[in-house]
Amino acid sequence: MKIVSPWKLEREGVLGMNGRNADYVLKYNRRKFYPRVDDKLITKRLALQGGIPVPELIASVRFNHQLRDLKRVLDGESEFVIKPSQGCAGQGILVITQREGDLFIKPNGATLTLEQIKRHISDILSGLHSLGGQPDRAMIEKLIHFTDAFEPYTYQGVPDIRVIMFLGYPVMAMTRLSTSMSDGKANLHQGAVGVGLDIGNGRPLRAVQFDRPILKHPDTGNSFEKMSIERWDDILLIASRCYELTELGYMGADVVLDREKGPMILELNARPGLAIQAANGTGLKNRLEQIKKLSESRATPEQRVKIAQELFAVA
Amino acid sequence: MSSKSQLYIWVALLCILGLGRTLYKNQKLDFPLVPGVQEDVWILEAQIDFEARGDAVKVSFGLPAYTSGFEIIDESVASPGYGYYKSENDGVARAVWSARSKEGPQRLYYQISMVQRYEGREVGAGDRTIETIPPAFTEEPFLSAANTVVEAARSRSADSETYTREIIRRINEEEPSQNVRLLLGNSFRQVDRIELIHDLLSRGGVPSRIVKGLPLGDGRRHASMHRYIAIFDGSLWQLFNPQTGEMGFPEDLIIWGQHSLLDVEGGDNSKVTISMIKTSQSARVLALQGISSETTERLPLSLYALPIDVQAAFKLLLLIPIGAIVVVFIRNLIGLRTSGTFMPILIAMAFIETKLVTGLVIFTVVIALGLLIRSYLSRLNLLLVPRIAAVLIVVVCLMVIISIVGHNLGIEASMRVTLFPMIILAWTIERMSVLWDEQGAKEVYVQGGGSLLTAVLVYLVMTSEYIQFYTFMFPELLLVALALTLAIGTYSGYRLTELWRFEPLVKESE
Repeated sequence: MKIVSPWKLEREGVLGMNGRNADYVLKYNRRKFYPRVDDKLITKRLALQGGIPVPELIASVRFNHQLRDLKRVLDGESEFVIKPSQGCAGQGILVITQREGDLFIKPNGATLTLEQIKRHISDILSGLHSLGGQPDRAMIEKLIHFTDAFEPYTYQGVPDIRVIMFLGYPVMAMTRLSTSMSDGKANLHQGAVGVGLDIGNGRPLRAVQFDRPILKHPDTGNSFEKMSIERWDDILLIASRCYELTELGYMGADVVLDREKGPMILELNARPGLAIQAANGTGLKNRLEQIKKLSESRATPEQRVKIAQELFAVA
Repeated sequence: MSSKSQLYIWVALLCILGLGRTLYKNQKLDFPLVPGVQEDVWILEAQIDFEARGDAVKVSFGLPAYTSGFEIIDESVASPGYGYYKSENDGVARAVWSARSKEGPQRLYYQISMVQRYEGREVGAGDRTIETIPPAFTEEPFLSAANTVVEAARSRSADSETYTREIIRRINEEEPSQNVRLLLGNSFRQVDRIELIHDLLSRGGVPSRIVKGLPLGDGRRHASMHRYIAIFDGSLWQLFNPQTGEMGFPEDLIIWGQHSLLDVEGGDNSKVTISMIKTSQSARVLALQGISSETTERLPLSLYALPIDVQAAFKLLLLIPIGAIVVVFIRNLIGLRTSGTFMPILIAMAFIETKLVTGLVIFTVVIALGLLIRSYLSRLNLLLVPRIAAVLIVVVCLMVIISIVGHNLGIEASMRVTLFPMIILAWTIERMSVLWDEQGAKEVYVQGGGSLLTAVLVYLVMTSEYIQFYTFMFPELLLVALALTLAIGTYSGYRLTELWRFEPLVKESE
């Protein structure tokens, strides 16, 4: 096991967990704005008000007795996602991609009955997946039809693009691709692959799994080099516009690309992880400091994206 | 003022306060800065039970009359609803409880702690009154039999010591002489051997008395008093074993005296149960307890002014902040993941009661079995709160089963399972099981292992003799602990695990 001296990390501008919490999360994110990102139903409402595209909500469930209507609500729906409104780290998300009569089929082929889906929702309502274990609401969303661009690089699952936003400027981005090891989940510490993206043009920079560099997707065997992401500027723009919605200075925005509807905000995070640095092969600190220096002017989201692209473009 | 400089001021202030008071106690009040040598401390507890009749009650309990070789460092009584005082009469101390009206079963406690010192042991100095007892045998043929035994023993001895030995030997002979047999009596008229010796000694002109003594033994419950013969040889009281005739003071013996042990007025069926334990404590701490009343006067706002049992509770309570610091250290400076932030402290406190290895085994077994059963419960489609309640009930059942099975296999340690906080166990099982479902077994091992490792470290720190010494002797060091926690709270540098995590980042750019 190799370790590196803290001075070298400092020189590279690597942001540690303590540094993120003390110097950015605690300083730039006001506690009272947290519900805006911790509760996905609030995020969705704010986004709709601000005209930012989000996945369509089929229904939200607050009480157990509402489950009696579930059969009617899901009538005709064969592709949907059930998730806790206040879940964290992708917990409690149930994806249904197909339906055969009364059976619901998950992406990995496993089937669920309506009863099992009800129990999953009931677990969500009692707070099993929420941050502090407090009672929660469940949301049922339409499934996103992902663009084919990621197809060669992902094993099942939901490829999304994480953009770190500081004071409304996109500072770093990566895409998270699920693997068989991550069980089809785009969760980096479960073994999903993170591919760093050039803020300038969305081209891949390098890829990591468990914070260690890799060259090819472990399941599909495709090299990431040729990957290209469409509508990159739009992706950065909707992420950037979230700053006005949430007023959180340091934030991670998760963007998904729908085949027809284009980029949509999936969720926002007030304490985004640090693995993005490994995926980009560079530390966050220097970029954050650069933004701090210019933040005096009141720039529009479009201007912010442009400034950030000029500052952080690699190629 | 910025929040950062405010914080530094607080840290400095807390350190100055904590260390300053520590230094003051050391310099002015002679509190030792290091624990030093350990000494054996015996704690004796007498439990007095009786049935009160409903009237006024007065209980008088004889205290150890002479404790040469021991230094009494603490005495306490527990007797809710009773008035208590200590009476001293002719050098005999008694604990006296009284109450105006009591009914039903009553229980009183008397506790004494003393340090064993080996020098200067003798019996009864300072109390030289010699009792004269009325001769027991006043009629024939016993009178002449007694006189014959006395004459025979006297002719074979030179002084009171040899005379005593001779009498004890004659009484305890396997085939006693006809006269002794007559004195000892038959199955219809039994004579207490020790009283017979006592009588024969006074008959021979040797001042003697029967004294009660308590042999010490660690962990002894229902200890009983033994009786000894003491004779006055002209300058000192000498102790004799009435069975062997051996002279001298057994090392682990407390002389309780010749007076009655327990007198109860207004109650029936009274009985005394004596139990004892041996502990070891720092000699310097003991020396301090010896002057504790004086110290309390000079240090009015101190922990030592509280009752002993409250002090004992604080001994454990004061260790919790140290455990919290260890957790802060492990999570924020090292970067280990644990399941539940302060759960390891609770587990460590259970370990203190069960001892480490036993605790680890029990904890692992309960969690593993719990996970197995929880994985079945999850198939039954239960709502969350009933499910956790079910896990809780299963945990309690597991505890019962582990205790019973362990007991039948002769593993006494298995009985300590009850010391674990079961609600914490149930929650841990539930969280681990969800973690298993959602993030795989690896995360369970990482977080479970992290929690256990943290718990073990917290345990090791909390059981350290030095840590216990400092937290109890200098509770003001808690302020320094607070300062340390505040300081770590502002640390925005890297965690130890991050040096490994981000290592590839640096290597490539070089």
